[in-house]
Amino acid sequence: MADSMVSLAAVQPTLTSQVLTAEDFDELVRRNQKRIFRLLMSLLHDEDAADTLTQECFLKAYKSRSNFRGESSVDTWLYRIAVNLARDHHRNRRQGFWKKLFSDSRDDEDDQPLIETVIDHRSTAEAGLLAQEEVEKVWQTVRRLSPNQREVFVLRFSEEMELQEIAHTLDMEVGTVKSHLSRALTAVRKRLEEHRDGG
Amino acid sequence: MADELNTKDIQQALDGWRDSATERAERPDWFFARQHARVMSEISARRSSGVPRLAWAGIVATVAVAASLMFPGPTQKQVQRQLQTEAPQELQISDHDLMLAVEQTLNAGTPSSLEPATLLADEMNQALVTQAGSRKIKENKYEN
Repeated sequence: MADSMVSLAAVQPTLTSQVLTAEDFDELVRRNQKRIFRLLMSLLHDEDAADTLTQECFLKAYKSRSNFRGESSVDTWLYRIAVNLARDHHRNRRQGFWKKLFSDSRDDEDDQPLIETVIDHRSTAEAGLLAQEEVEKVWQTVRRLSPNQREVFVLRFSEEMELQEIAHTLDMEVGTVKSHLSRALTAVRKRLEEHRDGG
Repeated sequence: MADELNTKDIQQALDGWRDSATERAERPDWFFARQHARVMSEISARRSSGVPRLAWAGIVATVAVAASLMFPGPTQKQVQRQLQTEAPQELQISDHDLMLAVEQTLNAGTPSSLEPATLLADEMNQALVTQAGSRKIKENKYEN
């Protein structure tokens, strides 16, 4: 989050002027695209979708730039757009799932255990920090969380946002954010305990 | 065993997960350069698609204003005056033309389009006259 705050400080003066030019967006995209892509990857587990929606996020921001009044930070504004795009994507995927189910076709990619995709993308350099299995269990748990719990969890632990920022991004009360976070953490803890117990 | 999973363990697991998330989202520079280029290309396309419409609207408006300034139309008074002066003349001319046309029609002979019919009628008349003449001669002969 520290790097994003630095970038925000650099871009904020031009962005609060209400008139966002294409040149502003050039800088805005350059400074924020990696964070938005990371957020969408954590929420969607799909590189192509994350790439497409990252682009869509900035285009939506460009289209609605006149609505940005500088009341919230640029980070919050972009995160909100990205989370909404991820929600729409999940909704479309769910609809696609039921369509496929009724047409008796199976999506093998969806059924692929998350552990494999994690191993594919993960560097062995990280193996020393924690047992691979535990990180994989966290991923599995995150994927099984409700959309709200997942969004709160990712924003808190991947993007390291404050509860207030998360509440603003997701348009929730701080108490609701705490509640979702508590449930998500309980689920992660439970899964890790089961794993340690040999489950 | 479950009791051993304390806050520190959870924190470690979450740190590991965050590093994993960051690592999973890492891509080579060309990937983000391409992504950036696509976004900016789309933005510039949207900008340029909006410009010509405005430009054309401006050009049309300017031409219309310039034309109205260069070629001003007659005022309402001018139009009324023109109507007042032109209307009687038009009536006089039409009466005059009508008189001339009647006179010409009376003086004129057969219209050129009807000349063949006139010739035919003349020939028929002549034929009748000669027929009547020869019949009279014959009658006279028989009488004699």
